[in-house]
Amino acid sequence: MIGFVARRLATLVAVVFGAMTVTFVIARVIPQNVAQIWAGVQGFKVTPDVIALVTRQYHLNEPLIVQYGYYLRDLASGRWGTSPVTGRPVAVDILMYLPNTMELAAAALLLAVAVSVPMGVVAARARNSWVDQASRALALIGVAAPTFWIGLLLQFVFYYWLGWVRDPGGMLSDSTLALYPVRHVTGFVVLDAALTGNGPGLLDAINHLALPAISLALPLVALLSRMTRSSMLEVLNQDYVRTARAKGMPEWRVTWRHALRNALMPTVTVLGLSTGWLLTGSVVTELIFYWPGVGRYAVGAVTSFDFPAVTAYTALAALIFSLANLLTDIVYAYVDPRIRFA
Amino acid sequence: MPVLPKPLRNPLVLVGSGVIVALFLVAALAPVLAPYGPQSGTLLDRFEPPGPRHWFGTDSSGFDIFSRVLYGARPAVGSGLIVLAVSTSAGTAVGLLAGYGRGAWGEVLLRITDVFLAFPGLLLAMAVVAAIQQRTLWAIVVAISLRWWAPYARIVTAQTLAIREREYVEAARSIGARHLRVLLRHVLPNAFSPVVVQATLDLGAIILTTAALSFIGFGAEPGTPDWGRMVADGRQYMRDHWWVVLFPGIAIFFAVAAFNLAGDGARDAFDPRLRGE
Amino acid sequence: MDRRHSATLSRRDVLRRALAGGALGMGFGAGWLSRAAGTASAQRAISGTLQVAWDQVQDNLDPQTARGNRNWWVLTELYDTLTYLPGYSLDAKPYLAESWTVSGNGTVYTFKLRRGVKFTTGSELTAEAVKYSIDRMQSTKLGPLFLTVPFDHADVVDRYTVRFVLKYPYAAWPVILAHPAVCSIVDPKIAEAHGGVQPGKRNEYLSANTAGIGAWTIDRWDQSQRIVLVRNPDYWRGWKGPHLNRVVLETVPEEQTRLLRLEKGDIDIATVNAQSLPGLEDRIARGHLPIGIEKAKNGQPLVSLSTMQVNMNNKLLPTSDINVRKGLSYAFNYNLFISKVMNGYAVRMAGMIPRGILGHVSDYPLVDFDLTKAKAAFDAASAQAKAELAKGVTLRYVPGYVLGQEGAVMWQQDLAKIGVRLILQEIDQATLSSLQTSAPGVPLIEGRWVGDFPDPDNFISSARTDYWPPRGFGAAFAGDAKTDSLIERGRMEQNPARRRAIYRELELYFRDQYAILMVAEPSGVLNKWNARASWVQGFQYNPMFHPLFYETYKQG
Repeated sequence: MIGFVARRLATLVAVVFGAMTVTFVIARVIPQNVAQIWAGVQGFKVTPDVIALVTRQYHLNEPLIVQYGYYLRDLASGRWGTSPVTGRPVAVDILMYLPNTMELAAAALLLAVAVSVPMGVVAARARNSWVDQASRALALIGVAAPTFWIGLLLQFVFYYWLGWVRDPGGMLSDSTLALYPVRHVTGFVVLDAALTGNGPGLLDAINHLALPAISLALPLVALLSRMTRSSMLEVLNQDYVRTARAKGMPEWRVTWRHALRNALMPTVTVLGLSTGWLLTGSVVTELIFYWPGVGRYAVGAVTSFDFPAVTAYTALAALIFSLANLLTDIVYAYVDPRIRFA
Repeated sequence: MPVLPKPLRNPLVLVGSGVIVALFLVAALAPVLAPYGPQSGTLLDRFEPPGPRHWFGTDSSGFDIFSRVLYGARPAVGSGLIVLAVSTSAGTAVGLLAGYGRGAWGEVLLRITDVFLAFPGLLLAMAVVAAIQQRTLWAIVVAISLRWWAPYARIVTAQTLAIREREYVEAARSIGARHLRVLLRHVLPNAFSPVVVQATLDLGAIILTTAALSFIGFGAEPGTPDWGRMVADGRQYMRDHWWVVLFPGIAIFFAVAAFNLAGDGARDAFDPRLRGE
Repeated sequence: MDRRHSATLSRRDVLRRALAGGALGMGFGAGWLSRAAGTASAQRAISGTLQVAWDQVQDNLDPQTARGNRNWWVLTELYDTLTYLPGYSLDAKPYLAESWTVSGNGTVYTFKLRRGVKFTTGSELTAEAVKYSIDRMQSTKLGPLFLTVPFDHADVVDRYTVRFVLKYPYAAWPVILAHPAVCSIVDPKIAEAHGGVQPGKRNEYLSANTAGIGAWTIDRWDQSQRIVLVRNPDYWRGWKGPHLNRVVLETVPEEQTRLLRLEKGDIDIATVNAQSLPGLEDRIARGHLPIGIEKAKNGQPLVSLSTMQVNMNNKLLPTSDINVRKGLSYAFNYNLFISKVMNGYAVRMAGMIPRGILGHVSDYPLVDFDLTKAKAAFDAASAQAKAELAKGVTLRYVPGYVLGQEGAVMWQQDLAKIGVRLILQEIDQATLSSLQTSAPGVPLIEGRWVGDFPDPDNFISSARTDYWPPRGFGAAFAGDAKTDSLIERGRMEQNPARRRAIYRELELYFRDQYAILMVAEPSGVLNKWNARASWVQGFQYNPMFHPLFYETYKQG
């Protein structure tokens, strides 16, 4: 087991290093006139000496290999480069927004699992029942409808028509922040409010989290519920399930204990892949619900040509994704003895 | 129904395949089917609600949305097919080399594949489009392809590794078949079906990715009848003119849903274990 | 499958669904709970809060290094200036300065400061602080230095008297001093305590905190979400009468979301763009919504003091050929663009100096849409220009900034009718400003001039060569000897009538040269605070629509 994890960790380091190289190529090799654009961002008058200053500052006229060295040094130093737009270290900005994205992603993941696993199981047990049909329809919507479309629709229905949510976006409303400030403990608002016993703050945070989490979770619900359904169908026909039934075990126990435990295996593997969706989908979701997350920050960086920020986030996303997959592999290996020593 | 192949007996798969066929037909015949050109009309005709003259209404430039939705099948199918052509061929080549070649070479190729797999598709595409400094359909196709080949390389590698060990390849080898022949005759046909399944599903995913890129502001050229762009541009008029967003959105939904249904059907057909029956 | 089993299962399934639904419902139900709990007690504790939803994100609130209206609009609330332009006035009125005098040659301005005014930090306002602040902008070199080109140096005369010495006579100086970027006064003690002045470097502390004299201070700044301002209790103008307690400036990027919140009554002031205004007005009328859109001020229609144009590079082919510029100008359907894309919230741009500003040419000879004339002009172009034109000419634009997709496509289609290929290329704001500010530029690029201070010199800035490089700001018509001398004379002239004559000559010269493509002058109705709930009273802004929330209150 330890050998397996060590090997996978070594691979991960190699992959992340490769990912950083790719982002370097995107940031420094492809774009033209970077110095000119960054100088334009910094000053109204782009004179040759301003361009020269920016060129020096970002080592743009050094050989690429030297620039690559500076790039790695920046990443290693924990500053992740300096943004030519805000003038701040990129790491400061990203770490400010990252907890918000993680909170949204975690909520979406929990919601997706909580909804899709029972739905998949029921759909498998009662094939072609209305639950099965509904889950099929939901899966189709989740897979095929653009996230921003769903997001705008949710805002309209649950905020404007039904009035179930206080705001169509944002993390906390101003009145909550003014009256029941959420004390900073972990940086995750829902968690912090719960830990400090801040009831109104907690409710408000969950209320704001609901719509973005739903729109981010929908494609995952689609994926996970169909996955659970098909693996459940497979498992329900296995010998040990039949044996359990023959022994007179109650049907609900057969389904929810025996069968589900084994049927969840493929679902666990998909969870790692879901991280990819959560990182991608959070970009659009955060824009719609003006969620102050790192995805929205990345879009702002892309449109203002803030390449240190763009590459730092892209590399970070690759790291997160790889870590999530590593974690999945470990969990999988732990659960399934056949893979343990592979 | 003796004539239908097995996967098509599932009504949903049938519907999905039907929609795909229709989509390709529309893409090919758009100039014949569409009552107007994709850019005919003036600002004087803008925001006409759906009616007998304009079935889906007109957009902010006064263009007929029905015609634009029909023409929109072209960039949707076109960019999807180009991305797939690039990624399946690149992915298959890398996958075959990585899986079939032993030793360091295969390992390096596998790691490179892993590196690209580590990027969430949209983020990499976003960075690439920004770096290219060109907001065109071509830039988007390039940006998406850069990440998209990696899963194919993975699939083909896995298939190749599995098949390589099988006896018939060993047998083919022992009777002196050359590597290329082994690859073409034995490995490729076996890797074919998972690639087709993945490609069908991916056509939908590519449409959604270009739509998301449009939403972020990296869409096809202005005026292009691109569904993603139509929805993204139209959302600022949504409150007053719902049809501007609704119809291209429905087009995206149906196209993506169709590719998913067909992809599921294809998977069921190729891999009976996963069949939901 | 056993029938009995499936029946029990579906009942269980209903139960489970109900549970799952409950978990979901908690999130929504929270809305009712916190709303019910919030109304009674919260209303009292945070009464007098003005909720503003706009599309702007602030990145720096240090007055001497911040750039862009998005920051300046907020800085106006935090830092009072020596002069201000109250009630939409074009003339500078005393603010932190009690009075001022100007020397006979117009180069020395002496300001007497109001006595006993305290910074929010407790220090007293002195001439030293004024000099420190304006010098700080000059030495950090990060602020909008083009606004202070006439400034030479400042002297402290005594504790409450400061003297500005200018490089040349400049009548607009008191008006420029009303701009938050030019003369927001920071407490030197605080600035020095947090790193002082370093060329090219921002002051991290002042970027996020206030150290000025203003009605408001920053209570909370949730990055990229909202800025919450609260009363400065010791404000020198006092808080007698009705006032707000707090102002919440929230960034809501999607226009549709702003509309939903405004129409639901959750927002007091929102930014609504031209394309949504008719629909909103319609719903206001049909639903009797308590929302108003201000169209006029003091009986006059609101003017924006801004212009929307396409800059044609006079140094690059094909636009260096006057006939190409002429052809392009005749091929733009101005009236259709204004009536349809701008929904009528604009007028024809007539010269670089907009309506309401000294030097605006009221009988400006407009170029009207005429494809025949356009074709004739293109035909008359030089062989070189024609060869270049045959390759197609590229218009670079930022979506939604000036032309929008509709305007650009309209122009493209009209040009196609006479055989000219216009290639549309969308770019981002950063690329736009870099192309505008560096040589050699590009043939066609859109540009927008939002006035910084109400003086003609500000509006012809884009043709100035002393600040912009030659062929600079999209090359409006820069680097031309005649232009330079007219701009020079215009800015130094003290006599209004003679000044008007100089600008007239400049504008007509530009017109003869087809120097810029004048798209439109947007209406002042398109300001950032245009849709307001009817209970918002006393809302003031200056002619550049920098808001002044001090006199605002809520009633009804």
